[in-house]
Amino acid sequence: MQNSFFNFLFLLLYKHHSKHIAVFIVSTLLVGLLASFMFLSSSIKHDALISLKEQPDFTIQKIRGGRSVDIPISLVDKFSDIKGVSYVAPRVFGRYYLPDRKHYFTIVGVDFFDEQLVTWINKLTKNIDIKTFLSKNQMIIGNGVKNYLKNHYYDSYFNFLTPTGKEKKVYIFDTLQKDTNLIANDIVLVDINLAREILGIQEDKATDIILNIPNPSERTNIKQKLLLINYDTRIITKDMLEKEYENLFNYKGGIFLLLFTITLITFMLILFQRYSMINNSDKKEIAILRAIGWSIKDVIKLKILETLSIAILAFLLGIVLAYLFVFYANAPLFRDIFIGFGNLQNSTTFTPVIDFGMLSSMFLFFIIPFIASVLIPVWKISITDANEALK
Amino acid sequence: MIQIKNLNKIFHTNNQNQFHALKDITFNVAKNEFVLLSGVSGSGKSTLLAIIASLLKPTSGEIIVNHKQIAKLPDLHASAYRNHDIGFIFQSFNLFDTLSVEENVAIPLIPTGLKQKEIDKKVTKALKLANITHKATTIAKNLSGGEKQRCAIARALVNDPQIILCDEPTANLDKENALKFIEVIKTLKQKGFTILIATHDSIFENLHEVDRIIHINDGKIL
Amino acid sequence: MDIFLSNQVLIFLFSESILYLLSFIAFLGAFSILRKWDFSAHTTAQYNLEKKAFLIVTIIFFTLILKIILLPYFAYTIDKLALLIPGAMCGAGVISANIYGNPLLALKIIILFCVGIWLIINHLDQKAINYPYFKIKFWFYLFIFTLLSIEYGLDIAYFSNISTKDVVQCCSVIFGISGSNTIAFNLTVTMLLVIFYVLYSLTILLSIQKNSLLLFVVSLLFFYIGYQSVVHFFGTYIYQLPTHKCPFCMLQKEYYYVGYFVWSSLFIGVFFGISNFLLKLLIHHEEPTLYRYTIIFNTIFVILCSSYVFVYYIKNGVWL
Repeated sequence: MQNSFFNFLFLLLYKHHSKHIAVFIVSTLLVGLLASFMFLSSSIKHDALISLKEQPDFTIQKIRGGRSVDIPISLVDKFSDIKGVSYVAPRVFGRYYLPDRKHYFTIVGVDFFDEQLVTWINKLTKNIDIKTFLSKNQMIIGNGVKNYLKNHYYDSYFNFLTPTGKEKKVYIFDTLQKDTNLIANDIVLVDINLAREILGIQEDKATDIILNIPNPSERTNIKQKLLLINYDTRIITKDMLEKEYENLFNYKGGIFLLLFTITLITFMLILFQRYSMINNSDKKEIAILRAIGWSIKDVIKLKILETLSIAILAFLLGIVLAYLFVFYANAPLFRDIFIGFGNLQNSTTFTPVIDFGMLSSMFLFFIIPFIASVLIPVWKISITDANEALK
Repeated sequence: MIQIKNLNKIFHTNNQNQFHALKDITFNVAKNEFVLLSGVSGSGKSTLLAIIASLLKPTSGEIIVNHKQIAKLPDLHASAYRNHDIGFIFQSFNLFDTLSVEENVAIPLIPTGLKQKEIDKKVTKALKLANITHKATTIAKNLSGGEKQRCAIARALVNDPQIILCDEPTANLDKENALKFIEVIKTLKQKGFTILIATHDSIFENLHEVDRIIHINDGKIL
Repeated sequence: MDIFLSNQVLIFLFSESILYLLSFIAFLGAFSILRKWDFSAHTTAQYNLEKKAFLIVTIIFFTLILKIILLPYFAYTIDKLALLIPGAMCGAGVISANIYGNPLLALKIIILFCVGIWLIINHLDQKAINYPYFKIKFWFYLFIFTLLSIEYGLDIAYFSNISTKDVVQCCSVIFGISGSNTIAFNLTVTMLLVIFYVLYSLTILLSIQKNSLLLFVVSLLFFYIGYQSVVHFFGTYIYQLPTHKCPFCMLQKEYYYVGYFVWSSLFIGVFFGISNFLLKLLIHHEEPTLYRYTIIFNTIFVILCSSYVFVYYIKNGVWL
């Protein structure tokens, strides 16, 4: 490719800029939209799956009438006896609905004498001084909770209303770090017994029981054993959760892509129409080229490169804008579609997760329809008869 | 060099009318001949030139240029022929106004796959031959009529064609520039080019470089 | 609804649909061109037909080039699906999720080879003065279009019949000792390797001698043996695990996507190896430069595979 060729190409791009500019802007917006969506969803998926890794291998709930009820702690010893199970612990947690009956806190009870649990907690916050924490009723809260409390003039404590009607004053000990916002926005961490009080769970019961089974090949066996011990339990495995997450993301993603496909098809039709409008000066231009020795093949090559340059430039610009939008501006408006506008206000930032495969997917998704739409218009103008140059 | 036998060209207009532009044309042009095609507007001389340049395909007849059958060439080879063997100079110059002279002259060379250095060499040579080197970097729309003409000549010469075809070259030039144009044509004749000029400008009639004048009227050679 | 399995599947099917639409348009055009083409006529109709031919050829050209790009993307899509299908760790499990998978993959590879031949014929046809291979080119395209139609049907059948609930076999089962893909003819690994290198040397020799028929046969054998060698020997060095035998896992990120390079160099090398014989068959003409490419790509393939073995030995002092 010679300099002369590029000179000529740029000339044509500039000369026809009124035709190209609209296409360029719309293409950039389309690519930007697609890329924002893909960056956002893969970033959230990435973070969600990482937090999922912290989940226990098995979660066991007691079922009555199809619904989960509190599970007796006595089962913990029974489960520990099973060979292959490395860790068993009861969990106490639940939703505490606020006076508006719409929003809630997620109360998580922690047994601070359980070393494993404490290591997990320390991942979310900095190292806490357990003694000071347990000296009175205190909680560690997520950022969404903090904002809510501030807005309702609760500076240093909150009054929980227990199911027995008693009020329980709990002081704020600390707030979780900002980067936990995706999963821990509405969390209230308290001592396990305090959690039981707030949620109205009896001393010898728990919300569920978690198990860790380090050897993956034993998991199916153990699941069957557990079901034999208690047939009225439901066992949720980490694999199932991972697959459900994947499916959820793919489902949401699929809907978006479907809608986007419809937009793309409309765009293709517009492209086709736009480039099919050939005016006389365009014709003359091509006729001159043909008259001085360019073959139809050469003209087609030139014209396709001309339209491709627009497509590629728009693609690159769209990607860059989407990157800035998602990872610097934190994707206002867009984010709500993903994070779920159910509960408390969330202000997470997103970790950039991009790979070559994602970029190729976007590139193919955009370029293939683009090229397909311009092939016929490009041909139409390239076959202009050379004798038009004589007129 | 050029052999034309029984050439016919019929134009079909949209409403089934026919216009018989060339009727049974036969003549030959030898190498390095300078031939004038003389006739009024509409006599068919421009059509004849266009067919020789393979810009139009004849309805019937034979035309052999440089031992090649021109009448039946598929597009790839017609354009190669136009690129290498012919240099065409249009009545309305047909330059790209926003490009400079040297960029305009380089355009025929782009699809040939030559490297940029070689392109530059050929462009320089053509500019010199057409006597327009001093305006190489000027944008085409800022050139005078005569300079545009010489730029067009340079472009026609850039790929070392053997045949130069000109369609009413002096129609848009004043007397002074027309004479300058003739000077360039005289140089080309000396350098061995075969030249065909379709014109009704009398300024050519008395040139002693002209080897032959072919008069065309109503599509027939007189 | 299971077809919306992943973003990649949607994008892949959308692209395939557009390409199929384009190829169908070209099919209709090719049909009418074949019926009326008469190169010796100089009627306006013939000249217009020539112009139309440019359109059809351009469409075919782009469609086929994009098909080439879609094959690695297909591999990538399959690989990503492994996350959704229980039991699958890589593309191997996904491909065997239903009966359409393996035939689809094989058909795609065959189509790619046909595409390559078509592109070469087209290039040669456009270089010559009187379009000598014009009709053959279009007839061959009609054949390719038939394959494309079957492929499109298989694409849809395959993807809509992948279940996210049924467990599939993982590659260690499919390619392992107890699986269905053991080494052919019960050869030992050593014998396999010997045949592998012998066949490679033969392809070099036959390319230098420009013997298209023998090279065709040897190339096909090399394709098969090369595949077996990669799965049962070279792959284990890529994974650094003597029991890990799988052609798909090496496409994943952890192995630096080397699978794409290994398989593409094999495909391209074999393609050039068989191309001259096929060209002779179709257009009675062969292109000497293609022999050179056979040597280049087969060598790249062999060096790539062997280097994993030698690097491992140098690093660890022992064979696997």
